[in-house]
Amino acid sequence: MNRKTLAQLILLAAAFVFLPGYNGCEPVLQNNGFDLWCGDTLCYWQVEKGSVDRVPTWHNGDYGVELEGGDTAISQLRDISASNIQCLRFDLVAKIEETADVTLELDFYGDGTVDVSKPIPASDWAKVSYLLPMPPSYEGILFRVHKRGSGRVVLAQIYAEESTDCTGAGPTLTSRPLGASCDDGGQCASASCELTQYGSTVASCGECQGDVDCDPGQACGIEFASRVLDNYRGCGAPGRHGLGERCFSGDECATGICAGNACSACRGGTTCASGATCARSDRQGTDAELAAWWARPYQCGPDAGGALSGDPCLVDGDCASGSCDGAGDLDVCEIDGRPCAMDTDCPDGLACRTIGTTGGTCQ
Amino acid sequence: MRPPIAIVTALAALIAAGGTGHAQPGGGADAYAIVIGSNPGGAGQGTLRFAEHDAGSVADVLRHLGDYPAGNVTLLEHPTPEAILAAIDRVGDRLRADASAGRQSVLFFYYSGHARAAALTLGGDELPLATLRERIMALPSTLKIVVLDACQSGAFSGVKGAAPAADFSYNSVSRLRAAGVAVMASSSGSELSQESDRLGASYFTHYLLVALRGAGDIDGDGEVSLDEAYRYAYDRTLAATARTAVGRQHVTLETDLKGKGDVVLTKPARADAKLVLADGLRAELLVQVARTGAVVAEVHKAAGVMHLALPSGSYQVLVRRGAHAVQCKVSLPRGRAVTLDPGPCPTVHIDDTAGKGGPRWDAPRWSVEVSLGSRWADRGDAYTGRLGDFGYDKDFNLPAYYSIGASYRSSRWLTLVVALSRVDSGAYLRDGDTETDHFDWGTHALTFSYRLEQPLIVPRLVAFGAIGAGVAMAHSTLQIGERPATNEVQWGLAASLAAGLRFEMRHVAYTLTTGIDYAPALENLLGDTRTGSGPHLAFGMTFSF
Repeated sequence: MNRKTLAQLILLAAAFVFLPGYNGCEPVLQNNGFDLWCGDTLCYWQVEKGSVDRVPTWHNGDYGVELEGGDTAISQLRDISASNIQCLRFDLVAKIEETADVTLELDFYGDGTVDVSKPIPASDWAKVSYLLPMPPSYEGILFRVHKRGSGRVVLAQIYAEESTDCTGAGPTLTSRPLGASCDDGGQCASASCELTQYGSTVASCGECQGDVDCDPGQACGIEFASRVLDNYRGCGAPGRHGLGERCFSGDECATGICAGNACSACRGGTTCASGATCARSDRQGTDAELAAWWARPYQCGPDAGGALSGDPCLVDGDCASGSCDGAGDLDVCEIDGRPCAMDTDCPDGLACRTIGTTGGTCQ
Repeated sequence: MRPPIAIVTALAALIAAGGTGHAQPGGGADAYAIVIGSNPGGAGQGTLRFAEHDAGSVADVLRHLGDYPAGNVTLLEHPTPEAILAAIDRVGDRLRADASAGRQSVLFFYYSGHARAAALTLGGDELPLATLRERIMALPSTLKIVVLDACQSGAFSGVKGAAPAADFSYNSVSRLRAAGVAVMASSSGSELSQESDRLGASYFTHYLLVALRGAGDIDGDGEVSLDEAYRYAYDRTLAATARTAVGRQHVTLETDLKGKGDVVLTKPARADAKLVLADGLRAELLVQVARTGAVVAEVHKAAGVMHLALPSGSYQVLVRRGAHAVQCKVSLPRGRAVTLDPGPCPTVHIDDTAGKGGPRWDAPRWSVEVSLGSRWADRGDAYTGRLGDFGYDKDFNLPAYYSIGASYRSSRWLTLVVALSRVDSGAYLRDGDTETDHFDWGTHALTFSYRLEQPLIVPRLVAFGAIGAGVAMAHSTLQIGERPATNEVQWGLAASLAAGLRFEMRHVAYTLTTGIDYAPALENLLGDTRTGSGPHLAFGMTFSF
């Protein structure tokens, strides 16, 4: 490992440490008063089932959300962990008719498993409070309000905050999902605990250490379970990741080269057929900002037309022809580098950025 | 209103107690009068309006209707102490001459004006009461009649151990005899003496003069005696002042008289012009000089013939029976007695006579009232509790209370008030994810109130209680983050209860009020109602006109 690479790793480690997440100051739940609406969509909340509507609560100007239909669920995945919160207090103000069955569900790790389900009694706007002890270890919680039945349900407030008033232990989570941090394979449902990245000291529950752990014809590579979990090593089709996507080994990359934690067109420092030098692009930002990025691909003369016709590319400037065709935008979370479609797909505080075109090829 | 002069009453008491004369008044006695009026007050005292005028009227009546030759009546207006003492000395010389000649004599001493605890207040000067008493008592008259028109001038009743003036009945006066000292005072020891804008005189002196003009001639013998004048002045002054803001005024009479026979003050039958009120006329009469509108008599005419001795001239007489009133013009030629005949007189509306003294109510009727204060205990309720449930916390809000209104005093005890008041306000905020929500409101009430008032023993201080009802309007603003604010106006009923104290000046009064308002106008969509805030305490001013 040369000195430059070491410096980059230190910067990357620092970036990891200071990645935005739950900081203990902001509300545990965002848009807890259901007042923020992004058009007709409830901001920060995911409508998993059914439909919702914006309705007034105590005042014509103070909105709540009505859960319409007989099976409706809204959820919010929050990047909090056991190191932040060991006890949660919920204050809920809602109109819940007798004929409606409403539960507050907690899905630790956001892996689709409902770990806690708390019935919410019928209420005529009375304030209801809960104290829920948290598990000794978890990363991220998916909060879900699930309504079943025909009765009318309007949520006005669901406020959650850290508390020290819990008595008793929280639920015990027997095994951790893919992407959850781990110390050994025994903690993982997959029985495998692997470092998330070369040079990293962080390990997560994964499926493989290398291709040999996968079924024949599959390659072990970088995968992501949810935005609140780290990446993990999983099995999949060889070459499934395009130029610019995060990688662990060349087998998972369509280019066959994994360099700088990203599927690359060439190896750094080499000279390409066009005579251009293989290097990283600086189009994502300044030097200081670039240093915090986990993954940046190596390309032949990036932004300088160093790629010949048929070579992989991200932007038109990469190609000697000035034209890079692909299958739409390649969007990744800044710094983190995981694929995304919008900011909410990224860890808290990170934006989803377009860094080029997916599967681009120079014309 | 005449300011308190407790010691004037003490003077009266001392004079009454010290009287030793045994002369027999009546025909043949020389009559002297010292009549004093002084409007200016001393330090801290207002200027009286009618004291000097009252003195002039008393002097006129004594000259024309009493056995007081014009040369024997000394009228002093706004005198110095030295002038009063000099007048007493001059009369003393003549009394001594009468005594040396074996003639009986009568002295009538009248004072209208300010006084303090130990002295008459004559503008910037004072005349010690001890000095005045000594000089008067040294006069060798057979009979001394002292009339004092000043505040609390009847306190001598207490000095002599008598019952309070309210119990001072005619029977106690009926023992009056014809020699010695009699002191009539305009009010009892704890009362204020009042002037009347409408009458253009003090209440007491006005009714004393009306009595002396003939209205007090109860037995119809054509003469008005001291006890008759007293009875009339007592009744009429008490009745008139019972309707004023200051309160009732009891005329008092203390005597130390010996002998038999009434003390005759005036002889209206001898007047050169008289207004005769027939036996069948039963009404309230207001007699005014036609040219000036000056009130010369306000009379409650009952059964019997009444002769009012008046200077010759033209008069207008308002004759009122209940709600019906007629206005008569009467000309009294010199040497004639004219009988009032209300029959052909035109009917007038009572309100039309108001500017000439028609209404019987002397206190200011219309007032503007303003007050400013604070609510001193904000009361939480279901409405604010719901705000808490929805995540709102109380924010700073100035708990100001203010009110502006108008009042109409319909009687001595009752005032109608219409007022616009800010009865409630509140401010709450809620910290959201990235922004703060604000909710605030203010509630105003327009109420119509009945206010019952009770004067207290302390002069000018009135206690009151009020109950009212009306409408309330609540204006609220909800600001959710950066969204446009939502403004709402809601209406409801309002009710109020209040109590307080008022300190009354002539045209301005100061009030201290506490009360509570019920104004359930602000309501949320869940049915919770803000019923009002906590009690308020406010300082106010009332401007009367």
